[in-house]
This record gives sequence, structure tokens and C-alpha cells, in this order.
Amino acid sequence: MKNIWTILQREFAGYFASPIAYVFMIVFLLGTGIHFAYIGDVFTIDRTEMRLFFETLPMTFLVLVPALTMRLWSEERKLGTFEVLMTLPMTPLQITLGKFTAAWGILGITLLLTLPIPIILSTLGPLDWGPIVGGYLGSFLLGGAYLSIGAFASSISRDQIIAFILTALMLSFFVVIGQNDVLALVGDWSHNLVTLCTNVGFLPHFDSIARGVIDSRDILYFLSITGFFLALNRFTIESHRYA
Amino acid sequence: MIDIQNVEKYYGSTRALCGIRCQVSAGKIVGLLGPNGAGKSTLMRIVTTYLASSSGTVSVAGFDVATDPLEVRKRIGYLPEETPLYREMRTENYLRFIGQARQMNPIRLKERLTYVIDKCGLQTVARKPISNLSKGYRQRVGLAQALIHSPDILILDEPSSGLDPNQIVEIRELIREVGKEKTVILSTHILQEVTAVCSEAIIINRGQLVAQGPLETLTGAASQGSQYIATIRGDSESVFEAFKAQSELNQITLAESLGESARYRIQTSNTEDIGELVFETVRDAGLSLSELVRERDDIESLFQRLTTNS
Repeated sequence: MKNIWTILQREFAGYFASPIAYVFMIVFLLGTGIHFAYIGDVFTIDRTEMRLFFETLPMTFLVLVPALTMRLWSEERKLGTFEVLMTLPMTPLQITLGKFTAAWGILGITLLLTLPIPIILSTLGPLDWGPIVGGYLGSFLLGGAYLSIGAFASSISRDQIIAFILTALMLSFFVVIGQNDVLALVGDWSHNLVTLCTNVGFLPHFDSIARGVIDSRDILYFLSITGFFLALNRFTIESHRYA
Repeated sequence: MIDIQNVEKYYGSTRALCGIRCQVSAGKIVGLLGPNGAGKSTLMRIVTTYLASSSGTVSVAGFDVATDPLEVRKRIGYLPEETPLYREMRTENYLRFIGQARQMNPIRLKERLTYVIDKCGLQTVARKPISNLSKGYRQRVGLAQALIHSPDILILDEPSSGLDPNQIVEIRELIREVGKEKTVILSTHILQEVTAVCSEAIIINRGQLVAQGPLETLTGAASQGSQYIATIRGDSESVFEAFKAQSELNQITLAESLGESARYRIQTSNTEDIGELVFETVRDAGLSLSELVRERDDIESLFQRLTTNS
């Protein structure tokens, strides 16, 4: 546990020593804020809710999360610090978790920074907190799943840009297969495929949490995806020994 | 301390190490020699558990690198080739991170931090970001990183590459000092470095062990005796007369005449030190000795012989 914390601290400081954390936060806050306020017409529609805010998150994360994870492993490999890291008396799992939780922490803080939105909304009219709490929980879990995929992609590429593109592609896959249009399309061929896509895609699970329906199956889904890619990540860095 | 048995390493179908077998005992400074691409780094990476060997076993302080990698890592301080460091961190913070990652308790870490910063001459750059440091300072940070937890074994991959002559001298001094109480393995292709700091050498070529042992034995075996160059003032007739009388010194030839004095070459068949004997012989004959040098370039000829044929 202490080892995970040591790695987490260093990674966290690393994010703030480079512009990445700041750029991520500012672009995220500006992007979601502007979208929510103007495109979503929050001032003219007669409802106080954040559904639109949460609905856009899977897309916003698609562009921003790869930026947060691209350097996680590829930079270590490029600079050779990977060799120092892997000869420290720690297990590959501890190092993997330390790096992942640091990125997840940045994402969590960024989400917390959007709290003024519901607070302002609550002053404008009666606010149903259920969907909002669910939305935040869902977003945090969704972000975790995205980050685990990004971390894995970074662990198999030596170059940050390649890690970025690979992450974006993998995330797109998981987003696209859960989209309604795609589900309708594959529905023409096979019903089983629809079930599969609904179960594997991000959106069906995220939408229900974001609507305020906290189902343990959805939570389990996100945790499983995260766990699966972290396990792969641990495996790739360990397999480096047998190169 | 380190026991390497029949280690082989394949990268795909390329064989980088074939059946390396050697031991390093505690408290020695061992030079790992070989031409570029001989497999020095690969061997070090296997000992430090960074790479797994394809076959064979390595044990470090009684722990097997394959089954007990964490115990091995705890006992090793490692400076990889090219000194990789987190550039954005400040020297002190970087060293503290390594100490924490090595599970040192805070009080001990604080002590050691002061110690290694002082020993490695990092006082002036302790608060500077590593990216601002010169190559020489980075090398010292890398060495400090390897020393922070006071490991029993220090593994240094080309510790003096890219340094200027003054920095090389400083680094060697530091290694020699550390080597008084630790086991050190350093790889290099600079042969003077081995004679300057190491007591033993392991020479590998194309993944194979070609020689191992104390420096004296290795070079002795290569030259079958040693050679001295003496500059003696006085008449050369009486020099020859005095030296021919001694059985150990009778292989003396005139190398160069320098007016009043002359330079002589003395060949011995064994490796024992004959310095004192030369001095006494010269004194007893009423001559004066102005310089006596034991030729020690044997390691170079040994290295060339072992790594160019085959």
C-alpha cells in the first residue's frame, strides 16, 4: 500500500510539473462549461438538471483522457527510467496501481471542480440530487475505465503520440458499439450481437447511472473493465523482462 | 555474493549470452569488460532482475533472481547505462523518492540523504531540477540514487561514460571509496578504468566468458612475467655488472641512453615485485636510481588477445 502511495505521489507531482494536468483541467472545464451553458441552453429551458452535462462526458473524455495517460509508461520507456523503476523493490502491480490512481486522482479533482455547476443550479430552482450524485459517480467510474485503457495503451507503446492515438481508437470502439444507431444497425443481423454490444459498450451502462439509477451491475461493469485493463497493463510491463 | 551459473539470454533468436558462469565475492570491486555489444549490460540487467535469463540461475546474497526478485532488488544499488533520471524533479526530491520507494524509514532516509548529497558533491544542485544539471552532475545524481539505501552490492553500467577527465577522476575516487565496504561491479570498455579501480575483472566477448580473476593473475598470465623500466645514473658497465650478479635481475637490457644516465629494461619471469631488489642493487653498487616504473599495460594486450580472435 505504501509503495502504491509512493508511486502515486511522484506521478501526481509529475502531472503538475508539466502543463498536462493544467491543460487537461482547463480544457475540460471550459469545454464542458461552455457546452452546458450555451449549446445546452441551460438558461432558457425551464428545468434545473445536469443530464446534458453528463451525456457529453463520454465524448469529452474520449479526447482528453488519452492526453492524461499517454506519457504514463511510454515516457519511462523512452527515457530509460523504466529500468530504475522496475529494479525498485516493488511489484509490477504496485507500480501499475500507483500510476493509475495518480491519473484517476487528477480526473477526480477535475470532476470536483465542476461542482459549482450543480450548486448554482440549486439556487435557481429545485434540484433533484439523485441523478447528480449518480452522474458524478458514473463519470468517475467511466473515467477510471478510460484511464485503465489509456494506461494499457501507453504500456505497449514507446511513443506518446502513438499511445494517444491507440487510446483514442480503443476508447472509440467501446463508445461506438454501445451507441443506439449502431445497436439498431447490428440488430438487423443478430439479436445476440445486440446483447453483446449493449453489455460491452460504455454508453448503455453510463446512461443508466447518469440518469440516477445506480445499479450494482453497471458499477461492476466499469470496475471489471478497469480491472481487466490494469491486469493487462501489469502483464505487459512484467513481460518486458522476458523480451 | 553473486553467483552466476550457466546463464543464457536470447533476444528472439539472437543469442546475447551463452553459458556465463562466474562468481563475485563480497567486498571486491570487479570490472566487467568487453567490447561494445559483448553482453555486459545484458548480464547486469539479469543480475539486477530487470531482465530474466533464458536459462541458468543467478543468486545474489543467497536469493535467486527468478524466485525472490524483491529481496535481490533490496540489496542492490543500480546505475543503468546512460543514467536515466526523472528530468522534471529536483535532485533532492528525486533522491527522496528513490529512498521512499526503497522503503527506508523517514529518519534514516534523512540521514542518508545528507550523506549521499555530501559524498557525491551535490550540495550546490540539491534544489535544482535535474534537467538543468550538467552531464557530470547527472552522473553523480545517478550514483547517489544507487547509494541512498546503503546497498551491499552496487552495480554500475558504464559509470564514467560521457564525463570529462576531471569528473572521471572524481567518480573513480568515489567508487574506490564505496568499494572499501561494498561489493561493486562496474562495466566499462575503458581499460585504464579497470586498472585504476578494480581488483578483479570479468572479461566477456560475444556473450561468452573469456577470462575471470584478480587483475594480477590475469595480466600475469598474459605476459608471463613483468617488465620494469629503470632510469639509473652512472656508468652502464657497472650497472650491468651489478645486475648480472643477481639471478632475478640478469635479464637487463639497455633501452635508451640519456647522457649521464640511461634507461634500462628489466624482464622478470615471475610476477613478484622486484622493486626493492632493484633499489638495493643500485645502491650497493654506488649508483643512483632516478626512476623505476613497472609496466602495467598488460591488461590492454590481454583484452585485445581475448576479444579479437575467436
